[in-house]
Amino acid sequence: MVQSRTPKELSNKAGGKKYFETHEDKSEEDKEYLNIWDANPAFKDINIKRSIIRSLSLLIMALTFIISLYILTNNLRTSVGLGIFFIIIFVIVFHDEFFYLQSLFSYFFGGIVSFDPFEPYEFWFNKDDPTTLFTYNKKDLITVAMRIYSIEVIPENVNPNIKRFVQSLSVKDVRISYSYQVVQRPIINLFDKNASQQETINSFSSKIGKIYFTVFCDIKGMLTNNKIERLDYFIKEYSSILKSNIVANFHHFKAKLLSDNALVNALRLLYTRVDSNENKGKSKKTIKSFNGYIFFKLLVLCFILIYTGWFIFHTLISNFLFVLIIDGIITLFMIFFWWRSVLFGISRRKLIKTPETVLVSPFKDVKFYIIRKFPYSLFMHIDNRLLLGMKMVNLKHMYKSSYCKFDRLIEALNNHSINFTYTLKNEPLYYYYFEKHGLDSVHEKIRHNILFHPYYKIKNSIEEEEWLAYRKGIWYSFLTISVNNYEFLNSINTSDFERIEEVINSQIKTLKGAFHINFHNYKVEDLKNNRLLSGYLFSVFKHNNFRLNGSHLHYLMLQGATLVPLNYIVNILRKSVKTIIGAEFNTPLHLRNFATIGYTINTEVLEQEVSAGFTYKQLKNLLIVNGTPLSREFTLMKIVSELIQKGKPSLIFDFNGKWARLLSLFEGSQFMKDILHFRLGSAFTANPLISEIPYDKHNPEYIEYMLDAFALAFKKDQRTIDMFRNTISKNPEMDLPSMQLELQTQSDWQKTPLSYSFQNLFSDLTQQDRTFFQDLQGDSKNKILSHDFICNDKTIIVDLSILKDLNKKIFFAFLIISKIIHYIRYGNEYHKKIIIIPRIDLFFEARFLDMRLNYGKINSFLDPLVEHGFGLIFSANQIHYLHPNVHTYFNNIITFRATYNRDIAILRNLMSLQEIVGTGVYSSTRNQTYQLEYLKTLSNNQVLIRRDDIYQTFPAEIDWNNIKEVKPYTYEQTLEFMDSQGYDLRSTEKRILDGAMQTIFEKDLGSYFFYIDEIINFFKQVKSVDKIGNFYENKIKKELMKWLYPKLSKKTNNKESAKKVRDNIYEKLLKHGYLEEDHPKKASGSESLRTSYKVGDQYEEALNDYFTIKGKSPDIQIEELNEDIFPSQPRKYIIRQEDLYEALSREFSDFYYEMSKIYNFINKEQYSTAIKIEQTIVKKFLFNVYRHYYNIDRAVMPSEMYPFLELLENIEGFPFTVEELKYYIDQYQKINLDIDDPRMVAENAYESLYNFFSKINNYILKV
Amino acid sequence: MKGKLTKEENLRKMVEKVLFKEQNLIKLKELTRQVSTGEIPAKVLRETIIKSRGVILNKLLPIFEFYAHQAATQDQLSDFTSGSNSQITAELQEKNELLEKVADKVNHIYEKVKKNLLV
Repeated sequence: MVQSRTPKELSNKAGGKKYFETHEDKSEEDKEYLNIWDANPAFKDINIKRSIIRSLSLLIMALTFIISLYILTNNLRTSVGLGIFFIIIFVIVFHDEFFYLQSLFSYFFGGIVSFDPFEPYEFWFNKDDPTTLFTYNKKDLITVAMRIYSIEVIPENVNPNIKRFVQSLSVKDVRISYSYQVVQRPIINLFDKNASQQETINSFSSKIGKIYFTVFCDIKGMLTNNKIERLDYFIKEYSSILKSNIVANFHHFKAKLLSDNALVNALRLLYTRVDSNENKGKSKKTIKSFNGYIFFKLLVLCFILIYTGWFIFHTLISNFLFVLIIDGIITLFMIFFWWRSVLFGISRRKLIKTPETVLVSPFKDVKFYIIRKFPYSLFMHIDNRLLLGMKMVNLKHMYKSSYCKFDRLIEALNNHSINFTYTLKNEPLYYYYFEKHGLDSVHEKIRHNILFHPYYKIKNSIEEEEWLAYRKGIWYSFLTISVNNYEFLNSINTSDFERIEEVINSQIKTLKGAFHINFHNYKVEDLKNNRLLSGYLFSVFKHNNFRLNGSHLHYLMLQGATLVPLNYIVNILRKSVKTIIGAEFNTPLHLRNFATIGYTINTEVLEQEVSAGFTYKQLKNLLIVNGTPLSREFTLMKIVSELIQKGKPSLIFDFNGKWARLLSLFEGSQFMKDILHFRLGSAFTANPLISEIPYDKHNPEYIEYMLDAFALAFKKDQRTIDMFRNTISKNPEMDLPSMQLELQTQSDWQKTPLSYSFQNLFSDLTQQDRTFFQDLQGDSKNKILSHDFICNDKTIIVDLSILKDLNKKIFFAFLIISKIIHYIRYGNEYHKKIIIIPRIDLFFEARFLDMRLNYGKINSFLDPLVEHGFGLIFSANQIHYLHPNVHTYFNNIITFRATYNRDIAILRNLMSLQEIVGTGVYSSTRNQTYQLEYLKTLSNNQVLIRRDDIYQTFPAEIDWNNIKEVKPYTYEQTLEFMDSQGYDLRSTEKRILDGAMQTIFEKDLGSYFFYIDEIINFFKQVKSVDKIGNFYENKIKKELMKWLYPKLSKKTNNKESAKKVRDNIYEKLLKHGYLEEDHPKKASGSESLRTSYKVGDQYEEALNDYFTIKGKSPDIQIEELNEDIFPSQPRKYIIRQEDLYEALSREFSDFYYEMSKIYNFINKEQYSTAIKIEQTIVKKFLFNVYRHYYNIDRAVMPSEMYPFLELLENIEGFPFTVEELKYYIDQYQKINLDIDDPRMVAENAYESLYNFFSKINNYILKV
Repeated sequence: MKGKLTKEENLRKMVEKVLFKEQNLIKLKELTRQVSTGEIPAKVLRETIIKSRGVILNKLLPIFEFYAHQAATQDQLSDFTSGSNSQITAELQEKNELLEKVADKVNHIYEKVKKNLLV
């Protein structure tokens, strides 16, 4: 956009033949081509014709009266006296028709006069068009229609082309009047009930700037339909022209056509109020006729008519008809020139009868005061709270070589904290008016040239227009500047007025001083009394056509080029008006949309243009980034709501629980049935270890996905995940809580750094979180499984808001995605839905994936979905967190405001936000598009959109109002809705809660609940003997260990560690009253001193609770379940240490089996095989017993055996001596297999071994 | 020493040991997994199961034979040691009674001889 150029530049460019003063003085003329007159023609806005007619009519009436009286009385003195009396009476009765006498009477009655300057005016809108405000002057019968454009936004980097703007409005066939108004006032919004008092106080010294461009047209006479229609037609045309001109010359300015309340507030000018609905629709019955002093006026009129009629009839012509005609003419004359308001009655009926009319009273709560002492001030008391005083100056003259610096004037006013209004009304003139009213004032030379010069003479209308165009038109311009000050006062008195007068007096002096400094050769005049009121009405109406007889304000004839600086939207106004960066975007008009989400923004005018949206194909890969979480969510909701209406299903992961809005949005519509809402923990759970496909052969593949999801969501390193994987593969039957327990029960020395890391996996999940991992009990048909979400054609909302942390939410989302991927991979039926996941940057986090050097995980998750026809709409908080590999999946991007440099850098490349190369936008120098600046300053619902079918990124506004305003379904409502859809989520929730409920055992035993079955068995055993006594601590512990050992032995090889677990359990049982102290009575009647124990009542209670909650039967055969049929590792030699009987009996079964083999081989006559077994059978047996007894797993040296054999010998009832045992060990090893009669050897050996076997058998078994 | 095992319990233990031999079960489990992941055809698993059943049978049979043999021997021994055979007991009773009579007679003869020697 070009800056306004100096007149010199313009003149240099001009190559025209003549529009300078003279050919001879060209060099001088080039500089001062606009100096066509020494002083601009100045006028006063008075309807001269009408004034003359009225003056003459009054004079004629007076003279006629005097003459007639003289004829009748022949007495000059009486005649003149009565004539003067008549004039005085007439003037008094019709004083409101005299501009300067309007307040005359008021002054007679007091120093402070309250009045209503808007009494003669009615304001109204048409119901279907609140952008046009009509005002009707009841007194003068003038109807004015007006439309106001408010400059809402000023670009920081672009200046308006005011010259072209002014010139355009002055060209032939356009030529419309307009006004330019700047108001800078405090943010007074006391009338807004929504504004808090604190806000008002804090904004006390703040100022707001308003810039208005107004077009208007008026029509005189009584109100008729035809006139209103004509006004409506013209005002639309004018506003259209003005808008086009603003669009063409105010690049990147936002000019908003005001309507309704905003339009009324533009009239109020100095303050704002929010009109309630009642206030807007003013009752039409309140329209008063404006027939002030009707009785006296009627009296005067009757007197004139009767006297005239009587005089003519008796003196001149005795013709009654003639008299009537004369009276009729006088009546009409009087009505049209002195008493127009009497005709308002007809217009009033029209207003009342038109149903489209909505009356408004902008100044209903304002009382206006004028004070005799302060004729230059006007006071207003608004809503009985705010007293406001104003003074005003009016531009009266403009002399040669004038120049103005409007911005510096505002700077000075700002510096003094002065509130001001600056109202400039301009009316472009035809050449004819210039010739008639301005040519005489033009320099002699120029006038001569225009009129007579053979070459420069203006000969025809074309040259007239050229002459005008060169000067950007010739204009009539009114300019007023006012200052105002205010105080909050509930009641007012003289001193209040004086105080304000003092301030505004000082301010107007400052204003005038600043004006003269910055507006050279301009002369202003202070307005007072009625002219001040007129000036105020001028600034309110923004035109001067509010009175038939004129406003009595001064106005000047200006050349357009001189007008430009007065009309400039100066940069200093950016301080009080919203500013933005004027960015260049080629917002496309040719968008094909399957779903629309808002409107494109034309940044040239900052207005909505065409519907913005995407094709269905584009919606299947859409990334929404940056901005606030709420704005992204609303956008997603908007998209989904569109998809629902188009019959396309989606799967939404709702992290915040706000998607129930969709249910409210479609409440009562046919689309309601297309939505389902499932809440984690209420409607479904997800076991991470199973794919949820029945009898799934490929579960390990799913596990890999789950592990990846876990790693990516919780940012776990590879080693931890490997450990997790191994644990799962080794313990496929385990659930997550069991795995955690296993880690907890590890001894310190067994734990590695990896163990801690692995344990941390679980610390991410709270107890409550883990309930969401449980397998829901019951038939799979009654469960909501992850793949159910894609097995119907409905839009499904998966509400994960119950989880607190984002990484847990994203993990759950991808846990479900993993199951879905696994489900679709094996050819199961599904519906291709659009999957919507927020906060994707948490999952595909660039730094983590780069650190792991494994961006392929992105492909492994997204490829299957894309290949199977699923759509992906992801949102990310900040795009720089998102791994670049994800970008490759998304050709369509929506971005909200981005401020972080890395985000901007990425978006710049992704969305091709770039500067122009080569030619500039409006000129070769302006080759900055400011697209990145625009990105940084986007607000609220503004976005930049990149579509794969449009080369350039374009701005848009998301239309989410209907979603934002709607109140989301409550949880209860959602449950009811789902019930109507056939999902009994209440019972599902109950089942989940039951499953999650902790038993007393769980609470008391903590992580040792893992051994609950063993503990119950232990108690079962103990209960049968505990009352007898002698059930001491050691005994209990021993018994407890006996029960715990099978399971415990799988957890630890270490005796100490096992004991520790046992002791801990024992302590807990004691602490929680499962075991109670007991001192049973002896036969003697005394109680034993040593503490014995019995089973406490807590056990029974806990047991019942356990079976109630878990739904187990107490009669369950626990022993059977206890059998360790699938030991995970061989632990052949590991039994309880130093329990010889246990060692012997355990090993005896092997010995038995070996014996049976010998017996069998002998029977089958396989003697050699039998002998081979016989050679080592005893040695093997005894050595294994040794290993058991000492709990070792290594080879045993023969020398170590001797003490052990002695030990055996010393055991009571053991059937062998040391020597005998040695014999059995050594004897058979010596048998030579190369013997002639193996049968005899084998059978003899068998006999001997059988003897050994029998003795051992008798020792171990009950015979 | 706590309560001894009965021979039935011992037998059950041995049978279980054969039926649920740990290594075999682990191998079966591994095979099942391999079948589920498609590494081996299901046929291999079926063959292995049938084979293992054969092996178990072959192992169990000698145990039962030996058990029967051992039980019979043990019963005889028990009968012998517990003295539950009535015939033997009766014979023994008779012989005891005879021995008592013989002993009385021998004692009487001894008393007479002793008196005669003293006289």
